[in-house]
Amino acid sequence: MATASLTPSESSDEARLAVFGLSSQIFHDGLRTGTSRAANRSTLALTTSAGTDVYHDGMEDLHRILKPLGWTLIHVEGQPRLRHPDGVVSFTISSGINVGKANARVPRTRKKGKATRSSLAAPELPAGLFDDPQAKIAQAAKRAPFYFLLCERVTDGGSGLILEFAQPAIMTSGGSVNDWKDRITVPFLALEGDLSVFDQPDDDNGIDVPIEPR
Amino acid sequence: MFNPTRLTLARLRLGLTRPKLAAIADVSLRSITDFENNVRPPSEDSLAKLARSLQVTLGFFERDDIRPVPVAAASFRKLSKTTVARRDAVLASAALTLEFFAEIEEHFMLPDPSIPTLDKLSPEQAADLVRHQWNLGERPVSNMLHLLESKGVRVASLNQDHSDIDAFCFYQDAVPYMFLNPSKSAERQRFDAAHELGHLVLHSDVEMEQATSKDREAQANAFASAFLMPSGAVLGQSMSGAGIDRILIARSFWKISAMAMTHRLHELDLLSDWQYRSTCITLSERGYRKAEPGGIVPESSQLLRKVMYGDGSRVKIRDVGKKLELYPTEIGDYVRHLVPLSV
Repeated sequence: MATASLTPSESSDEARLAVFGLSSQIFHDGLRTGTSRAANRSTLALTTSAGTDVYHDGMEDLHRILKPLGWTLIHVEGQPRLRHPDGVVSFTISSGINVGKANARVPRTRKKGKATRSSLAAPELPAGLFDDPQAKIAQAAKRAPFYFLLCERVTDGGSGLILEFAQPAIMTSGGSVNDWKDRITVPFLALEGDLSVFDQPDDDNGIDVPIEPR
Repeated sequence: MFNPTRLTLARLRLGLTRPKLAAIADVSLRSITDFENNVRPPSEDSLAKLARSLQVTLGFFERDDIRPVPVAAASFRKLSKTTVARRDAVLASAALTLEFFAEIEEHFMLPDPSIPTLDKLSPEQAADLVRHQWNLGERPVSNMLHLLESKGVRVASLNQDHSDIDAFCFYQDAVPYMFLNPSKSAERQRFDAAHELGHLVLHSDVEMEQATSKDREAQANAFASAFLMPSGAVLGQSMSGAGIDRILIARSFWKISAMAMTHRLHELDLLSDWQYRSTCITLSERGYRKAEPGGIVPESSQLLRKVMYGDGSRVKIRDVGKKLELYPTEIGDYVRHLVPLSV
């Protein structure tokens, strides 16, 4: 399966995200809290905690940002996805390795479940087949092109997330996705660069030492 | 009338043994021993020689009884590394500094002491509680010196000859006194001040025995670290595995040394053992172990500035020197680098 452009110019990536009503700014704003929480985990935390932070906080914050724009959170066979109001696209967050890599290396997700597999082989069923509204939504979501917002955490040499918005093509028999129909690079979400937590408060917190002459 | 306690204190504050003073002053050792033990008073000639050698005026020996601050009352960092002579010198000078503050209090009402005693809590719990009681939130302490002075602590300078002593503190008549070493970097002085505050909070009812000195020092360090860099705030600053650049930004935010910041991150498990070691090595290579490149301006005393240069009646070094029968330069040493001086 051919992969789409991997190193297009930044502006064309943004333009391609804009077609879906998305932007790198939306992704960064949606993922910053979870990434920051992950970066604040001590070495005593479980190794899986950081990934959970990015996933849970990311889905929540992206939902918060996109909901006013008409996006809905739907569940397809247990997998939560954010769906464009017109069904242009649906996506969920996934961790991966080799995210953003060029040349021979392509991103690879961890093992995915039934929802992803059925999305890759979604039958084009006629609308109205289902009476159950939830089933209709799920079916509509299946028809919307399905993407992963791929995230790979970086902790050495600048903490943050490498990102890609990519449409899966094929799952391996083991269940991971390592072939892509479309790949859109999203700029690195750098936590090191976010220095707002070190802004000194504007208010005067000078301390007075009261002295009175006798 | 000659007061032998004054001779002993004047000698100790210069770190002199009796034989050494005898040699310097050209007065026999036997005589000095007799004078100090109140066996007989010195002749006018001997007294003049002793006054000259001890850098005091003749009237100094006629003032009230004075004794060095008891060693058991004072917290000393690196107690084991401090020689007895140096420690006694510092404690003798401290006794004279108390007279200087008594002189200030004759003219001014100073803040009442309000340092809580929290000897049942862990250092971290105590630091959090003191922050809470003093409404500091989780922000950096804008000025440690002003904070301590506003809570009734009388802060003075350590004589720079004693560079091996970082700081110490003690209570005298329910008033806390703190002596800081002005030759240290501003960040180190802030940490030392917080460390001594830790002693006042945690150990004010404890005898400062040498056997338990190490534990007390570790507790005061833990208090200082938690007080200056509250865990809740540091844990929210994306410091896990932080690189040198971010650590340097954080240390400027908290107004603390880069080494102390690094230690705190390790303490909070935000740096692994390996990251901690490699960061310390890099900081050391860049000169952060002995100094604080790009550091803050040292804090100064608001209390002393107000009493020495404020409106209304002022305390003048020269006048206090005359009253205490000491050279003005010595009075200046008590407050050097805490307030601008012309002596």
